[in-house]
Amino acid sequence: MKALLIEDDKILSDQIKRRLEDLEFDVYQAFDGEEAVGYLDYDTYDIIILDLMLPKIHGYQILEKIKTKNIKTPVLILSAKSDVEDKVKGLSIGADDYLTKPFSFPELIARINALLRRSKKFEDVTNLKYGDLTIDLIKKEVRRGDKKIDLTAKEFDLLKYLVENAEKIVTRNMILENVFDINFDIESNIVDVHIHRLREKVDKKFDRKLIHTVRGFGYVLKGS
Amino acid sequence: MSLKVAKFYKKIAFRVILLYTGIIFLSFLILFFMVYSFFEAYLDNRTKEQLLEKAKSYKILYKQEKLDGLLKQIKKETEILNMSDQFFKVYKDEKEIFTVGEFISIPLKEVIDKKPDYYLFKTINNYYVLIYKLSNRYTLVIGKSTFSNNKLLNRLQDIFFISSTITFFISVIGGLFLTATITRKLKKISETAKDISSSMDLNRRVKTTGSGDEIDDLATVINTLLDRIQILVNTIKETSESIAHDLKTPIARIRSSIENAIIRNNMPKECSDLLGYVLEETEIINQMIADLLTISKIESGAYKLKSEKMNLSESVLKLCQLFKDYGTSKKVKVECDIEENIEIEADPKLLSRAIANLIDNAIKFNMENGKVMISLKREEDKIVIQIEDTGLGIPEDKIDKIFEKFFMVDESRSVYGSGLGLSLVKAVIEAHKGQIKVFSKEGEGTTFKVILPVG
Ligand SMILES: Nc1ncnc2c1ncn2[C@@H]1O[C@H](COP(=O)(O)OP(=O)(O)O)[C@@H](O)[C@H]1O
Ligand SMILES: [Mg+2]
Repeated sequence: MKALLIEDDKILSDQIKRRLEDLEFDVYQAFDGEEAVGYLDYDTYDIIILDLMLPKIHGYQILEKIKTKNIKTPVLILSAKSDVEDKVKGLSIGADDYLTKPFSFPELIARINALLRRSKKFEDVTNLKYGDLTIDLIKKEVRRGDKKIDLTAKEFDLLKYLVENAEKIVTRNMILENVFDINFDIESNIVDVHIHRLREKVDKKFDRKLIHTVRGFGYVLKGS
Repeated sequence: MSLKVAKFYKKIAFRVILLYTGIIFLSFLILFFMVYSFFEAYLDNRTKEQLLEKAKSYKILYKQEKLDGLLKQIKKETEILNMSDQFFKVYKDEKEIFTVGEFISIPLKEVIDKKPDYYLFKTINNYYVLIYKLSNRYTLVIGKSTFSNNKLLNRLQDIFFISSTITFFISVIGGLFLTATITRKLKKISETAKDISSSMDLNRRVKTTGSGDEIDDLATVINTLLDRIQILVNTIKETSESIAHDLKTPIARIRSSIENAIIRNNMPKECSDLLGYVLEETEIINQMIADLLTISKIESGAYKLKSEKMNLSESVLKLCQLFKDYGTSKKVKVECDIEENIEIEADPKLLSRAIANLIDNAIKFNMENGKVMISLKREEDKIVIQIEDTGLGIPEDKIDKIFEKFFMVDESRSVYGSGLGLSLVKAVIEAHKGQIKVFSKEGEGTTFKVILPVG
């Protein structure tokens, strides 16, 4: 998979590149607008990651260029501005998603995956499985081995989200947005409290713990 | 901000006219009293002189032709001249011996032992009465009705009444005319100023006429003020943009470097936990910068608030449900009383965030088995959101400070939070032209009341 990374901050760009290379991406780095245009003429990519504040040519103009050239590659915008206006403008010009700096890698990866998945077809999933954990999405039933686990509606959604992203780190913001449908900053440790309760039910009585805290990132569901 | 339309009695035009007509009316009244009393005194005197003249001529007649001659003369005069508004009497000692006209009894006690030619004026039953001693024994009494004098004075009153009414209207119209020119100019200025402050369109200016009067001066001063505000707001906008950019990129670098270090290198758990801690603190700094920026942008008006129709009932209900579970884990009961279908024009994210902040505080600063009551109601043209808790409360001397940036009653009270929450709440509510009130008693609980206008 090929990614075009347009970001003027060398250090940040290198870090993102490393992370993406871990995930088997070929990363092409452009450090200003002109370079980016060059890369766009030269090849096609599976994903474009675009910083808005660029020297020489502004991110918006590059975005417009991408659209006029009828390039179908999904574009993920990175920006230091958190203004809603910017976000709205970016999305209206044709970006596919928007991420505000500073962001966390799990979030970046989740968004890239979501953008790449968009083009692929969805299969109908009725069951989720991870290790001895099974989730029946129709009956809304959760089991570990043959032990049934009673969860509230929110706890069910939270566990489902963790299993869907098994072995990937999910941040508090990702949980707030995808599980609780809260798309604004919230000054609360709601997520931690919910995770804590979920652990009491899913992990406490079992030797093999599934939900783990990753300090500084968030949480991950994994076997060990 | 209270830019309501001034009550009519507070309007300059009204006050100027009131003063203006008041003064004119008062001077008119004084003039009237002076003229009236002058006329009254004048007529009084004239009547008295006439009566005395007549009495004196009768006295001469009495001397020449004795009593009989006098009486004959009076009879003749009254017959010829038909003087219905006069009467004549002649007394001998205290006994009435002759009468023409009205039958009024006249007290003679005062004059009975006076010398001849003594006279006295009296007013009895609407008559001027002259009592005149003809001789030691005879007394002549002449009466003249005050009617004709009063008629004259009444006419005078009428004239004054009519002309004062006319003057009143003229002065009102004059006052209106006088103030209209001034208030029209002022109104224009205040309307533009109102528009600017409500739309935050700082490119607009008040119109100056160049007439050089005080009102034109005022307009110029307001424009200068607007220039300065515009510069200030732009500076805030620019600096906050550059702060955002200048601080966020390095934070993004720190974060991505640490994240890579943790994820890519298989380091011991102790190490990655420590780095994770650094990452958490970085996130706190980042959040604080973002919040500070948001607050100062909202406060300065540099933040362009969205104005979308939002179903507040649904949003608050969603928050209620979100925090209900959360409360349960902390042994705090969250109750909701939400009126349905309350809609409002607002910035949905900011307003939800503000309300979430208040609910979070109510749970955070609560006690085991405590309660939080959230209510949303419509009261006439206002929307009232109330968040009441039975928690720790706020000490009386600290209550004024809780909306200040970074203020926390007790640093150890709060496990998370930076003291920026309520500052943001206040900025958001005020940007929506609303009000926030707080009532609290230490150890008993706190109530936050948010009042928002419907529009
Ligand atoms: N409902 C409440 N009950 C008691 N104290 C409160 C309440 N809400 C706010 N406070 C006090 O006001 C301070 C400021 O609140 P806030 O700005 O939200 O900061 P934070 O929540 O980060 O501490 C809090 O630290 C707390 O001491
Ligand atoms: Mg708070």
